[in-house]
Amino acid sequence: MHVVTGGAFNGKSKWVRDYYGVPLEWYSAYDGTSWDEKSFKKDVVVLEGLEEWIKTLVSDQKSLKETRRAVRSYIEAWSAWESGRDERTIIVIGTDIMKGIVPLEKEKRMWRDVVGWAYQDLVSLAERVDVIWYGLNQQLK
Amino acid sequence: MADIIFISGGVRSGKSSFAEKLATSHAERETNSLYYIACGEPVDEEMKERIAQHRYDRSKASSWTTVECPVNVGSAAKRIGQGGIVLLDCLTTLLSNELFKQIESYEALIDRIKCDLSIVAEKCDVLIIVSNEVSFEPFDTPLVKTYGKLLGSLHQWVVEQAREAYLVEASIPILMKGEVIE
Repeated sequence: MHVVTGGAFNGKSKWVRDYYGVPLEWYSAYDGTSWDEKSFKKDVVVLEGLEEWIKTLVSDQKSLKETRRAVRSYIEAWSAWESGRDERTIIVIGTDIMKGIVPLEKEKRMWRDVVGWAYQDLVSLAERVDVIWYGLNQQLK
Repeated sequence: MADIIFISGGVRSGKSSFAEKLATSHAERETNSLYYIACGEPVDEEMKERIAQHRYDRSKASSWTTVECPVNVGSAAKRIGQGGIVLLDCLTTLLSNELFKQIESYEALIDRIKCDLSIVAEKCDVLIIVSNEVSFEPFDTPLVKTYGKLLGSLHQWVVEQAREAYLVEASIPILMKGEVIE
């Protein structure tokens, strides 16, 4: 697993494309494709827009715990898929949305909470983590 | 073509004073003239106060020539002496001023700003560009999102052109690109 994060519009996706330089199987939450590991075909898969994808799982009908558990089970499934073959790598791209003022609305708060936890869970599983700042990478792990 | 130095940071992070110090030290080394391209327009009292504060800070330090240039920053090149040290403060203000005018398309606007910056860079020895960090929270409205996207793409381009790039955190500059020659 390779986690790529940083602020919005910092060139994260472009960096991933340039860094890997191979055809990547690309799923983007910005155009609403499914992130089910059962549909992955190639060995190197990119999941772009983790924060946006998590937004679809958050609702005030569900508890924070429940939502976090749901996200975790996805992360575990990706990790299990990855360990199915040595060549497999999942690259998760997620925008850092957690450094602003905490909003009053419950759902918006929950969104940030779940996204932050997801990054922590992913990073603990990842072999490599990079933060992108206007096209430059800083490897954190 | 000038050496480009990009400096970014949060509001009141001390990025402008770091940029001014950097400009002054370059000017002392090479005995170049110092130019300040001010993109801010004194449209209200708060802006007037901010500008006055920046002017006062600069007047204490060295002899700066201020060039007011809220839009079409390429036109400032005419008012800059060959081989000067130029500090442009700041890219975010320039972009908002440009956006509030009647604009072509977003792509054309970004291309024009890049072209304007290149014109200034052709004229001077060192061009220091100050800007603000884009965002670390979700964009509230489509307008803010567009602004963030445009600013982000400008930053990526400037960093690519730059010899040095700094992120200033609470007055401490962090070197993100390049090597500092002492």
